[in-house]
This record gives sequence, C-alpha cells and structure tokens, in this order.
Amino acid sequence: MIDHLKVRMYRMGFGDCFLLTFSSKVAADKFVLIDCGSITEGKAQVSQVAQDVIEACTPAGGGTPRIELVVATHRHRDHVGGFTDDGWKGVEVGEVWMPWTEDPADPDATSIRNKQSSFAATLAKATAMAGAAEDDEPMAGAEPRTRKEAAARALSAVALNALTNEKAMALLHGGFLGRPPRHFLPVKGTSCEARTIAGLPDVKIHVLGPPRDKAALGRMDPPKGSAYLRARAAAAADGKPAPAPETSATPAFGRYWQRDRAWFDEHFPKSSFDGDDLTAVDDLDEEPDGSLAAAIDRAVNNTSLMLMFEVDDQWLLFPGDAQWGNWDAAMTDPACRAVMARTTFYKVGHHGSHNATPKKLIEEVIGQPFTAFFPTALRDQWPNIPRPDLVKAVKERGPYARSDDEAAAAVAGFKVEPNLYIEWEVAIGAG
Amino acid sequence: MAEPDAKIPPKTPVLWPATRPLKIYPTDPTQGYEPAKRVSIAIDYEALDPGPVGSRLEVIDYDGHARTFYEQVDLDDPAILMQGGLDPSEADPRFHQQMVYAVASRTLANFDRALGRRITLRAGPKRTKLRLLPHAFKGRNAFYERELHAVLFGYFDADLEDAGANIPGQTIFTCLSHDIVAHEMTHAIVDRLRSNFLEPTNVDVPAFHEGFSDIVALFQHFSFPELVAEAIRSGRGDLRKPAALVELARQFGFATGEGKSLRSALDDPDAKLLDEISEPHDRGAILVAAVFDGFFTTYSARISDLIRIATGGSGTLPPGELQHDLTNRIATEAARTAQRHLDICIRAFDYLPPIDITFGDYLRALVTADFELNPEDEYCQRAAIIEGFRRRGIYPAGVVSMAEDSLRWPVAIGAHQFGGDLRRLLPKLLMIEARRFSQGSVDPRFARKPGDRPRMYGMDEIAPGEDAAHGDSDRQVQKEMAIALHAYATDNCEALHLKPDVPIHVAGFNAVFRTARRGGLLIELVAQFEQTDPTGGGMDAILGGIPVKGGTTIVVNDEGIVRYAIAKPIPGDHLSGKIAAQAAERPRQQAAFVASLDARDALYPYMTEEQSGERMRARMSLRALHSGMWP
Repeated sequence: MIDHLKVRMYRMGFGDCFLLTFSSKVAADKFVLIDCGSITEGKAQVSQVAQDVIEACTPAGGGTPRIELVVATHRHRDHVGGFTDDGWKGVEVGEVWMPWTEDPADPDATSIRNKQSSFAATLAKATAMAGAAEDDEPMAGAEPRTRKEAAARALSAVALNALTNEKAMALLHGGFLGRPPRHFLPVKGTSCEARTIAGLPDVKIHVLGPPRDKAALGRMDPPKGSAYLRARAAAAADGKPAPAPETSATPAFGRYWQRDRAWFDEHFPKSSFDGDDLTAVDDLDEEPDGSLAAAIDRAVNNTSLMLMFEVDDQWLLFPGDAQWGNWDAAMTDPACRAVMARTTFYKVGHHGSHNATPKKLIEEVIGQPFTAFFPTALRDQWPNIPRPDLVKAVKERGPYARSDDEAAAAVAGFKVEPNLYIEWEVAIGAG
Repeated sequence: MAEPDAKIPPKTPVLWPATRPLKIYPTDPTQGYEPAKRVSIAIDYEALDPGPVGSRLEVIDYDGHARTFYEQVDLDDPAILMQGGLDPSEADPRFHQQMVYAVASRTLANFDRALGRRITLRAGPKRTKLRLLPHAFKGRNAFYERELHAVLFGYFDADLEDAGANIPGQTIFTCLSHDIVAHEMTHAIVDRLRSNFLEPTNVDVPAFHEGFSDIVALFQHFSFPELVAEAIRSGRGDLRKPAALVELARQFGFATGEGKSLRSALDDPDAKLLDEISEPHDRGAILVAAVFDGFFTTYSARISDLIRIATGGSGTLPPGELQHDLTNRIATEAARTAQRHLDICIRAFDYLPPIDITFGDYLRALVTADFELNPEDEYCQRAAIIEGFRRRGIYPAGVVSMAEDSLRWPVAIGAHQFGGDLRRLLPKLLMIEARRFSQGSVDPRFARKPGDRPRMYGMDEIAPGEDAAHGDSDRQVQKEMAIALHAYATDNCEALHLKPDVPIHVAGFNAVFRTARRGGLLIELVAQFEQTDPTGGGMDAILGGIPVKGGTTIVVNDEGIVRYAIAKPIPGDHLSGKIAAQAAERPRQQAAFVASLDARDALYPYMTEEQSGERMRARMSLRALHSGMWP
C-alpha cells in the first residue's frame, strides 16, 4: 500500500518537469515523470534537472534508474525539450504515454502533426528567424534593447516552441531502456477512461483529454486566414516541398497599366489620397504577426494529454497546457467533471496564463481546498503570465507554490532545493 | 448659302438619362465551367471625373503590394458611353474600377432609398468621399478601414492545390465579386450611421456588423432578375422549397470564400441562435438565416397565384422544363420581394439604439420602423420576418411575446414637444435634407449643377468650437441644430433616460423622408445621444479599452413630438423599474463578454500591458475579423 506521495516541481522557468514519487513501507519508491522542458532556461539548467531526476530514480544501492511511467503531455519544447539529454538513454521506463495526436499509425494524428509543424516552421522562417534551429534560445542571453525587440523575441520563442522537437520525440518513442510500450491517449472510443500501469497497481489514472471529435480537431488546426502560410502548410502536410517564398512583388497588372506617383498627382490634383495614406496602404501588405505565433501555440497546447492521478484520497490533476476549448469539453462531460471535482492537487496549466485555467474550474468544479503548483517565471515581455487574478483565486483555495518564488514556497512549508525544485509531500489516507 | 434664319429657335436640348448603365459580374468571374454571367445595371446618373470619382465615392487604384498606381478609367469617354460601360474583363483594371464604383453606388442607393435621405460619406473637410481601392494589397481579404476612410480590396493567387474552377495560381480579385463589394460597402455605411457598432460590447455587436453586411449583399444580389431566373430554372420543381433560392445564396457563400457559415445556416432549417455561437460570421449567419426565412415565406405566398394560373388551378407543376414566361414572372416577383425586404431591413437603422446592439434590438427596430411607414403590412412581410426570428431563437430581451405590438418600441413618455430654437430650426433642417435628397431634373436647362446639393456635415465639423461664421448658412443651421438638440437632451434627460450631470454628446441627427406604400410621405427627425459612464474607471483593465457607454435614439415627427426614445442607458439612480435593472446588468454583461473572449484568445497571455489595455479595439478590426482571427 502506498502511504506517501511526493510531487516535485523542477525549476524550469517557462517549462514543466514534474516528478511524482509513490512510497510504501513494503517496496522501493516508484516514480512517474510528467514532462521535461523549458523555453526560458538554458541548456545547463535543463541538463541539471535531467540529472537530478535520473539520480532520484536510481535505486539506493546503485543500478539502473527506473521510471514506471513517462508522460509527454504535448510536443512543445517547454514540455519535452529536456528529453534531448543523452542521460535518458540509460533510464529504464515501464510505459510511455502521449496524446493520441502522436500516434504514427493514426492518419488524423499525422495530418494534425504535419500541419502544425510545417506551420510553425514556416512561421519561424517568416518572422525573420531564418536559420532558426530548435536549440536556439531566444529568451536566454542578453536583455533585449528595445520593447519592440523584446516583443519580437518573445513571439519568436513562442513560434520556436512549436517546432517539431524531433530529437526529444525520438527518445520518447524509442530511446528508453526496456523498450517500454507506448500508449496514445485517449484510446479511440473511450471517454474518461481509468487506466492503471503494471508498476503502480494502486494508482488509477483517469484520462480526461484531449478529445478526438471534430470540434477538437478544429482546435488543433493551425490558424486560418493567412493565405500564404496556409498554402505552404498544406503543401508540407502532403509531404511536398513548400513553395519558395516570394522574393519580389507580383503586381496585379503588368507594366503596361502601371503608373507612378507623379502621374497620379498630375491627373488627380484634387484627390484626398496623400502621401500618408499611401504609406498606410503600403504597410498593409500582409505580414505574419504575433497573433499567428500565439495561435499555433494554442493549437499545439490543445493536443495536451490531461490526466488525473487517483491514489486513495489524493487526486492530482495534470492538464498539460490544455486551452479553453478542451477544458470546456472536459467540464461538459459529466464523468470527467465528476473526476475533476475531486481535485486535491492542481498543476496550473500553461504557466499560469488566463486561457489555460478556466475560472469555472476553480470557482465551480473543484469542490474542496487543493494545493496548487505554478511552473512559471515572470517575464517582462509577458506581464500577463501568470495572471494575477488566477494566482489570487488559487491562493484562496489552499497552499500554493510558484517555481520562481522559492522563498515563499519555503515559508508555505514546502521542501525547497534552491535553484532546483520545490516539493510537496503528503501522507496517503491520512485525512 | 442661306443666312441662318433668326427666327429658328435655339437648338432643343437633349434630355440627360436619369441613370448610367454599367456592366458588372453579378456574382464573380468564375462560376464553374459555365461562362461568367454578366449583367448591366443602371446607376443613378452623376457627373464623374476619371477614376471614377463621383460626389461620394472616389476610386483610387493604388497597389501597396507592388507600390504602383494603375491607369484609371474615364467612364465619360464616348467610346465607353456608347457601349454602356466597359465589358467585363478580368485583365483590364479599368473594368475593375468600373465594377467597384457600380456596385458600391448601387449599395449606397439602396441605403438612400430605404432611409429616405441622401447618406453622407463625408469624414471631415478633407476626406469628403469614401475611397475605394480595388487592388490595395495582396491577400485573401477585403475590408473597410475607418482610419483610412477607405474600402480596401485584396488580390491573391488561387490555391495551387485546390483552385476549384480557377487555374491554379491564377490571380483572384476580391473587387470582382459583387457580394464582397456590397458587403464591405455596407460595413462602411453602417460605420457612418453608427460608429459605436464597431465597439464590441456584447456578442451580437460584431456579429450584427457581419450579418447585416451579408443581408444587404444577399438581397442586393437577389434583385438581379436574370440571375434569379436562372436559379429558378435550374432548381425547377422546388419553387416553393428554399433550395432554388438557397442555390443562389450558396454561390454567394463560395464567392466570399470564407462565407461557408452562411451556407450552413441557410441549409439547416433548425440552426438556432445559441449562446456558444460567438464567432461573428457564424453568429451573423443566424441573423441572415432569420431574415432569409422571412423572405422565403413572403416569396412563396407571392408566387402561389402565379403557379395556380399556370397550372389551371391545380398548383401542381407538370414534369419537364418550366414554362419560360412563368420563370420570368416568378423571378420578377422574387426580385421585387427581395428589394422590399432589403428596404425593410435597412430602414430599421434609424430606430436602433446608438450603442450595444443586440439581434433582438434589431428586430424591434425593424418592426417599429416598418409599422410607422406601412401600418397594415400588406404582404405580411413583417409578420414573416418576426416568424423567421422566432424560428431561429432570436428573442428580444424584455418583451412579453413575439406579437407585433409587444415587439414595437414603447412610445416615448414625458419628453417635451420641440419649442424655441428647435421649432425654428426643424423646418430649415428639413429643407436642407429635402433639397439634398430631391431628384434633379434630366433637362439640362433645369438640372442641378455639381456642388449645388446641400451638404450634411460631420459632428466634428459643427462642434461648438468650430467656427461656422465663414461657412455657408446650411452649416450654420446644422451647428445651431446640434446645440439646440444638446440643450433639449439636457432639459429632457429623465424622459430620454440620460443620466443628469454626465456630459451628453450629440452623436448625429438627420431629417428623413420616406414614401409609404399608399403614397403618403412620412417625415421624421432622428437623433442620437451618447454618454460615457463616469464610474467606469475601475473597470478599464477588465473591459480592454472600451468604456461602458449609454445612449438614446430619438425619433421625432414633423410636429416636433418625440415618438420614440430608444435607450440603452448607463446605470444609475436616475432610472427606475425594468430599465434600471437592465442598465445595471449591461456593464456586467460587457465584462463577461470580454472575459469570454480573453479565454479564447491565443494571443492574450502574451500581450503587453499596452496591448492588453486596447485589446477589445484590436479585436474589432474588420481586417483581422475577415481573415478569421477572431478569438
């Protein structure tokens, strides 16, 4: 019987890495790892976190480190980027769980993945990040000099975040020791399925999302609208080379019809169309902007695997970075809602952004006090993350900790390993 | 050679035509494998400069993508006049300019006619005309931009993979789609009539802008009998089922590219207005469907006698091709019904509150406006529209039933009859608008000279600080009218549900002349007042840049008696009863609406403080809206 539970939140800035430890008197500790990645922390910190996880999962007397279950909620760098570390290849894993959109044998999943990644790649190129590579660190390094630069870099980071993360995904699919079986969840035709894994028979894991219906597929699609991005994304989805970007303007009509400014001024002396107007029209020529980066971010976030870990009286909710639409779907399903109502621990989604934690969840769905962990970092470029009113609402419901505020976490009674992690420990069945 | 006889009278002048024929594509250049349809439409004659540049519209062919102007057409060129306008051509920009001008003029004329006045498109002393840019940028979009006082049309390369009936990569011009031009033109006109309708204060506001623009485009499109005749022929046997006419609307859906929502709402007779439908085009499509349902009911009733006559009284059509004359008569009836329907839909505008519109408000305004003009509802068209709204689940807040008399706005109580300055100014304003609206003679000896028409000035041009002394006397009248209306609203604030001690802004006024079906003339003054809630300060961050506003529209008869005071007041203790409760609820609803958009908006978490503070304005950009970027 499991009698103790620990949830360790690693310090990953904008990024998630959670290690669950299940302890009992009769057997060795068992481990579950949920995500490992960051977009704001440099390689050194990510690597150190990976080493610490591996160490923690190594048996006391030495031997092969073992994790019963590795969960990759969605393929964003801030959730899987850490799996590029070579240390993982020496870890034995029981099972690997990923959202159904990662299933290589599912044509719907493949289509979504291709669309998302080619969109992100095109966007990364289009937003003057030519030559951008997956291991670039736009949020690390020197402070931006201007606000404009800061905003541009912040959105570059968002676009980069959605690049394919192939190396990390390859490890998750086949790089661990023990050839762990992969599961792509939810299984087709199930709703709010409760699963167990061989190594942890006492833990029930409820699969709350992502849904597979048509509406959900729509939420996972890259944004509509920007025509040329869409055309290229479509081409890439079919495995065709993307058309070359336009290097020069293609006018609506040829030279024969074209006239210059002097001609216009001569023929239309009374026109109200002046130089400022002309510049304003020039500026309209379509350019990808921040909203596209954000929209692809949301599309990938909506593939997030949403899980509830039930162990006796403790119910731990890990929603990945699910966004409004998928939350809404889960809360509308009576079975899922009943499961979520039991929450005693909540991993705050998407680093505390407003979109990733519905007000209704906190105010209506969850029926009792709960502990909350915010994996987040306050960045000047993103003053709305985490949302102050969300922090306040969560605070009112029970103890909470932010990964970027170790001092407060220590005061609140959590175990703190400076610059590495914050940990919550609870006795099972105690109350 | 004989000397000219002094007794021969001077040369008899040839009468000018009342209209100018211009050719257009009635849908767009590509209609499957059939040759493109083309029609010639009659545009109210006005003197034109090359461009064309008329008195209210100015076509400017500047391309911001290629940074070049294109040659512009002179529609008065004898060669063009003799052939009734240039023939449709995708390859000749001069035809594009002609088509944009023609369709925009038709839309404008539809508003003039229904609203009973000559709409002004003036935006200040410099920008006296709305600018139309047929090839403004490269992109799958077209939009009205208030800051530029322009409608901008994009062009783009057809999809390389799925080009439909087009050649892959072929250039597609949004300005060659009748429906897109009419839709965008309607956005521009609506913004002139109600600038607050670009402030999304509830879920219906942006949806109304989109839905209403589609309604105008759709019914204007139905008013081409040739086009309707063909839809009826191809959908034969189905005359009294919507399919034949929906076919037309389907083309419309394809023509506007992203307009698939319209198709789905028309195809699905059970589509209803649900809270969760929030995307403006999708929600607007329900409004379109409600109005279309009403149209179809009237149309079916109007053609049933024709079918009985054609079938010897049985009403059952024989198999085979439809009789040619019958097709034409039915098409004519459909076109007429469409025109009447469009008039009713537009006429509602003067009876709308100045802010925070809902679909329910629109129905109430429509019913009231049509009732005032044609109390007897001869063709049961009004009743059919009400039924259409009921079927689509659009119920106005605070009415006891969907009966016509409970849908009409309540009659204003307690507002004083116009006296003093207003009494003196009202006839003068009526005269200005009458001279402005009156149709000129076609005889060149009596014809109005360009520039003779009186102007209606924008509110900023007649603001108290503006010096009107060196302006013309018409401007002086309008300036005094604005001041007198302001004083009237201040004195009657209780009856008009305006909050005392909060500044009142006169948002606009017009005199209108409408002709009833029985021949009578209905003359009214309409005016709108606005207030900004002074206690809204603390809500700024929540509301994302759009304050809580209140406002009242008054409809005044020619005796100076206020018939209706259509109010959306700001909350406060100047109100009582039901209206006080509704007013208190509005800021909360606005905040909830903003929050629901925040939850969906992918960009919101990444906004800077500055962007966050202006986010509601940014969301209402028609440019973003039309490219599918609504949260």
